[in-house]
Amino acid sequence: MPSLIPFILIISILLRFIIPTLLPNLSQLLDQSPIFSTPINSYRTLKEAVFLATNSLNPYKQGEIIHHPPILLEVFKHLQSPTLINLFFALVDTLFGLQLIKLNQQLSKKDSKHTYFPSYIIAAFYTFNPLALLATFAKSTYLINNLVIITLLNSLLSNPFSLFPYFLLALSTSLTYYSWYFIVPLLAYSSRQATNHHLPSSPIIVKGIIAFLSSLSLLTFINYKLSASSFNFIQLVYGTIVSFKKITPNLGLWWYFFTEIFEFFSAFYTAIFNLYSFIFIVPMTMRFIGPSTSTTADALFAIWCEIGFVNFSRAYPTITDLNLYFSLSMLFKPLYRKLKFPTAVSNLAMFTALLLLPVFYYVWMGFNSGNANFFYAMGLVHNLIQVLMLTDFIWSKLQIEYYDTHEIDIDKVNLKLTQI
Amino acid sequence: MSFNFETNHTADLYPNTQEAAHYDVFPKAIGSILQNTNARELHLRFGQGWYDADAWGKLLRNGLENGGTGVELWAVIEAESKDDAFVKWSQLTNSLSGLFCASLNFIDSSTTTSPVTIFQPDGSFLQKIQLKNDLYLLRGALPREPVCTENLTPFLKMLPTKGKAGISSLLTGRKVFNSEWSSMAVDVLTVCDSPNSCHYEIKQSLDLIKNIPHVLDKNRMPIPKPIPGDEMRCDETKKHDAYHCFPLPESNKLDFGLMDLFGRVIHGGALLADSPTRVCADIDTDSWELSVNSTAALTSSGLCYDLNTNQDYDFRLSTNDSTKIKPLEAPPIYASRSLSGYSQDSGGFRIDLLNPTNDDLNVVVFETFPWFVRLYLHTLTISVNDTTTYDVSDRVINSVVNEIIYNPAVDRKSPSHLELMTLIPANTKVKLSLDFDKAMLLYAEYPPDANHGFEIEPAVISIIDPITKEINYQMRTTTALLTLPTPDFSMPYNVIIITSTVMSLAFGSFFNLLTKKTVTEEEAEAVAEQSRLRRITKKLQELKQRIRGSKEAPQ
Repeated sequence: MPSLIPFILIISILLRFIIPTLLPNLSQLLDQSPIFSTPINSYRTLKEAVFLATNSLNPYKQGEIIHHPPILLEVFKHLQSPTLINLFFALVDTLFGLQLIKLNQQLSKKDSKHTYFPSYIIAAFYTFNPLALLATFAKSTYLINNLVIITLLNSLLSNPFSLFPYFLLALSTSLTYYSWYFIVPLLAYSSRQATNHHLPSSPIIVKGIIAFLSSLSLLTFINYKLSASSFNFIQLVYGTIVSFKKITPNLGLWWYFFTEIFEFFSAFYTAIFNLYSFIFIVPMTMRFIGPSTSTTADALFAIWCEIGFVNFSRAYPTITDLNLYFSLSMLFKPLYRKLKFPTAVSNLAMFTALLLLPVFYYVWMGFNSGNANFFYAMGLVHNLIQVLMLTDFIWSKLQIEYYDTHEIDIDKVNLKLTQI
Repeated sequence: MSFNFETNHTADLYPNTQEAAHYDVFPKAIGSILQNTNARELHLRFGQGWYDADAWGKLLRNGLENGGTGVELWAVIEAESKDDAFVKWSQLTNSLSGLFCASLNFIDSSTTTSPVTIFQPDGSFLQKIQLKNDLYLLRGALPREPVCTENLTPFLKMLPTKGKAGISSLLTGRKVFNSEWSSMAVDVLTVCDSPNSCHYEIKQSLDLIKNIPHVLDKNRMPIPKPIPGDEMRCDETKKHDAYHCFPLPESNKLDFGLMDLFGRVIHGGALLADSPTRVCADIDTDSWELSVNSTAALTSSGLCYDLNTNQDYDFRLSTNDSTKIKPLEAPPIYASRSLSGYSQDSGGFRIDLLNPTNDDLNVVVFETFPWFVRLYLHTLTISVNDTTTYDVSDRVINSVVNEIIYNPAVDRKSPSHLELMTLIPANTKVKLSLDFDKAMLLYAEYPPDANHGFEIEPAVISIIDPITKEINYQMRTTTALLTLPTPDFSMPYNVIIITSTVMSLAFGSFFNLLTKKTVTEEEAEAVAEQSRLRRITKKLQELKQRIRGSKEAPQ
């Protein structure tokens, strides 16, 4: 039913544009909630910075208001009218949906062994995905980053030797910092593809690194110029994430830990937590992209796992990051059959946690009848569910890999597999 | 009631260290602090209570010598650079902290601002002398500081009479601080007559609001008890007997002396002063009567008395109609500030300004907020007479707000500093509102009583002369009590342990999945057969069977 797709996409734009236009307070309401916004990506700090910048106060030189990169501030300086902003976010999110459909098509074309979802299901899923809808209504600036990452994946899959993904990676890094982790799977994938095509891999790696570093320095230079020739923005935008300076309740593991930790250990644990968020990047890349048998689907799966693990271990996670991870999980339909928990169960668990999080937050902040522990405990549950889902997918992937490498028909034989 | 004292001191601006400084009536403690920190001006305010402008009218001396609740300090420091000025400022706050027994040493960079439009130095001495360096204005306030006797004693010690003689002998902590409202001020200015002769001028003042009938009642009956039956004044036009009484309103008869108000009498005149201590009464002689209770002879001229001996003096005032008092002067502006919002993670400030006069007023609203109040200036809205509301991005707002000076806060380093220059039209009510988010502090940064909340220092409202830019009237709102979200203070170990558990759980599962080999269960069983532990247990089992077999064999 390919004719359905444009129709669904139009509904998607309308839905994302009309609702916030009709309910202008919705965005403010969602932006107040810690599951949609952190001090790093909150839309109201961006609005404040736009206001100050248009009134001749450079927010990158005075105060600690904004933690968005200067490029983003420049974009929003030119998007002053609420209609334009609503349209901008609706377009960004619909483009994301479009890229998701394309990614699914590429994957099903390259991997003939397994069956994938038809495009219209992906389109419908993304259009009515409550996470995506709410993130758009909250005007989370991480939506832009999500679009950049999925475009990167698309362009990487269509041409593994192109340098465009490295540019997008640099852009994403300049937007959110964490994305530089994905240089590892990108390089691994390029070099693996080069070996498969009997090309020398080292020039491709060197070119990739150079492309990434040069576009990153270019973007940094643009940022530097836009923030009136000051390098303060590096501390404000990236330093705050790495050193976890702005502590407010969020979905992650960091905030309560660093509120409660004794000051003496704070620096040590900041280093540990940062290291922890990186620790599985190389192992996951080696496990899924390293072997000579690895396919495009394996590479995508590796990057997806890394996105999932970074979501779990990052300093300021939001629903918008979760949205990227969730949406990409639709691409791994072949893995669904070996999951311990059916997707319906894990999604239900995840959504229960996500519903309870704002409730417990409100009980703590609004009613004053609960305390921080309620919200923290729910956040832990949410994180555990995320880890369980991810391990479940990895185990399913390993099982299917076993069937594939031993050329056993998964439909006929049901093996009991284990790990030693 | 207002007490004002002034003393002068001659000193060089840049003293020669070889020469010993000589102090006579000027307090040496203050003098040496000022010399060491190069402070050219110093203003210190202690305040307590809420000033009810509706009941008490205009502030004395246009409010220029009154402080808000807590302690407030601003100084003009001559220094080579801003950093140097800040070092001097820290020295100054630390020295004054010891001198005045106040926590002034807690004024650090996170509470210090440099005001732009108000608190400006009185630059008149600059016209006479060329300074070596630049002047820096620094200001800090501690709204949570309780003002009490330990601050009054050093205040009195700075007077030439040390509070032992003259009118200052009336002041004791017990009676000063049980007034409805009190404010103490110390102002030191540099005055230069010529480039070579400069001197410090110190002005000390203490203002009190006392409810006299209340004080007299309290003197008579320290513990409130019902009025005994025989003292009860009943309305005789109504039914009254041993069981019924409709009490009459309080009588207008008053008779009180200094002893009743202060628990002390004046211990003689300040004989150090150039002119004798003079007590004057500004009363309506038709209904009020003044009497002096003293053994010493008095030189009087009309209602003024010179106290030129060291005898005790007590003055008494009595009247049959206490309503015959001077009419209150209405303040030129009414202002109040309140917190809005109920949530612990965000809220808003609202400032109501009312101009009751028939002239337009140029009003500066000066506020500083601690860093954990994250202001959103774009949410500033202004409503005029509750009818029209302007948003800060509207161009129309210029008719009310002329200029905004804003220095955003830096976490743990500097506060946010906001000065709004507004024009309040005649007979108009203006409401300003501003939203903010509250930051969470770290475990150790909360004070012991974290759920009490944090005091936000009073907003300073000043009426500025549009031409000379001088302050015509100044008042302060009350402090605001802000509650911040708190973590559970009993949880640090639990949180550290539980979070680490989740992290290591995740680490362990991913590590296993990624490093182990996938096999079927049969293969796994076969491999397990080969493992060393299995072999050992197998051998043990064989051994056991052999022993059992050898035991069974002989039978």
